[in-house]
Amino acid sequence: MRLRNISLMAVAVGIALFAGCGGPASWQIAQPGHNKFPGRLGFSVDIPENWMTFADQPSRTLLLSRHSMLMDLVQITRYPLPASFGYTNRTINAHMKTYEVAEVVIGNLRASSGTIDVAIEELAPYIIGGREGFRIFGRYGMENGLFRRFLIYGFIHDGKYYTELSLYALEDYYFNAVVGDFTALVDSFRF
Amino acid sequence: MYAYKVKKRKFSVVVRLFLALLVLPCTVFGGGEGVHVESLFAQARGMERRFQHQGLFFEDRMLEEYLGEILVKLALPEERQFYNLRVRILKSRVVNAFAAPDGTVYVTTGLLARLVNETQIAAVMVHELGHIVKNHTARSLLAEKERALMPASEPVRGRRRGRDAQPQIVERDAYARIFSSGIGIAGDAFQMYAHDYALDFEREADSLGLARLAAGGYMNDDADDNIARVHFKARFWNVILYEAGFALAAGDFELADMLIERLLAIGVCNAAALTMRGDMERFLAPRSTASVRWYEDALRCDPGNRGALLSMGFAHHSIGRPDACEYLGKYSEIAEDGVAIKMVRELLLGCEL
Repeated sequence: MRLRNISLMAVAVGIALFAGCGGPASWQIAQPGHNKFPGRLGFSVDIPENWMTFADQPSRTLLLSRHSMLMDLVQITRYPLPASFGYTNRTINAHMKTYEVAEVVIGNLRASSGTIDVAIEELAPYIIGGREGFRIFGRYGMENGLFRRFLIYGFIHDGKYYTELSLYALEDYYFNAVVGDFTALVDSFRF
Repeated sequence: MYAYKVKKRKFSVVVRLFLALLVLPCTVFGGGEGVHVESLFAQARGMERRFQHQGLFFEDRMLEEYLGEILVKLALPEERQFYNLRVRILKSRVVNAFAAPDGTVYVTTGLLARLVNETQIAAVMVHELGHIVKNHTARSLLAEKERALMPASEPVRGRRRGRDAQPQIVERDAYARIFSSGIGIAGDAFQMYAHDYALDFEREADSLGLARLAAGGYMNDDADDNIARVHFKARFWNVILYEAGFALAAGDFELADMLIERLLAIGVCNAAALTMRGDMERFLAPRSTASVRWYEDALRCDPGNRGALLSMGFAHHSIGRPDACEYLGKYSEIAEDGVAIKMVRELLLGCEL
């Protein structure tokens, strides 16, 4: 009898974990009419229909993709300041001007081991969620011989965070196919 | 008696060389059990095509020819005849060089930017030449095959890497290494050896290299010859500039400083190097005026330099100096199609108030 109780408890715990209490996060597909991403990560955006989303709470990141991550990837990340990155030793600090922040972001992209010949085609100011920020547009080559285009929006807010919304997509077909959805998503960004 | 021995030795060397040249075009090391050289050469050509497709080549024909001349100078006449000895430069921050069995030496921008004289280049070239003429790729393939034929559970003596590395026993199937690397499947069997020759082969390449360096006159370093050094540096200008840009982007200011110093030491008034030096100061101390004098020097060299005008404008703007309007205004006038034109126009709105 005692053994039976223990095995029932084990099954119950297993089901609870599987049901989502402690289970791993997974990709979700945005459905028509249910495309508002709630502000669990400190912001909300309108998710375009048929895009997949993946909320990575520990790294304060929301990932999105329309066709698959290798084809197109949108990343929205909120970095606490000072913000450090994977490929550059330079950091983003609260007192930085917009163009200085952009220079760090470009430096990180140039220093990345996966990019070849990073070319910046435009660096422009941009208002995101009511905050002054920047927009960087460019392209780079990859070791597989393909090219990616990128569009990065970033801004410092509340003196404590740097938030970045970026799109990386294959130059052939995919960038043009998703850039409209991405810019609409950026314009829907709210805290 | 002594003369007879010398003659016999000379005859033996000639015979061995003849036999080696006879056998080399077909296979290396023994009939059907060897490695087909033409196949390796074909793989080398395939790898080069892939590098080309990947956009990995740093296009600087003059520098490649210069490096190629050094490589050829260090080779024996029969090696020059048999191999297509030449050098290609790869865009990579990794400090590395490797050789393909057909005689092509690949050297990275990361390595080239760190070399300071021709003797150092020759040392790199001759080491790679050693791998080529000693057939290290083919010999590595054969060794790998022998290992693979051993029972999987039998311990295999592993490779020793690095000067102080200790011999280690590896408990895995040799094939696992090939498949895990993914390179074997891709077809460039030799490519994995390019980065991972056995220590014995590295020593053999060094041994050959030292003898050839001495024969080539490279042991008498011409480091004191200032004119030669200036010519040397001028040839390396593009590579060093490229690597300095990377170092600056990565925030590796120690390396950036060293490379920019080398660019400036050439003595040519160059706005790109001076602007980089200013940028470095600006990144290190964003609210100081330390960068301004470098930008001023850059603009003295090239008054219309867009990069210098933009950086000077940003430097002044970041510390609230009205001079920012002058430099950003000039940038706006001459760089209507400039990358940062929208950002500059936004900043200039503040000047009109």
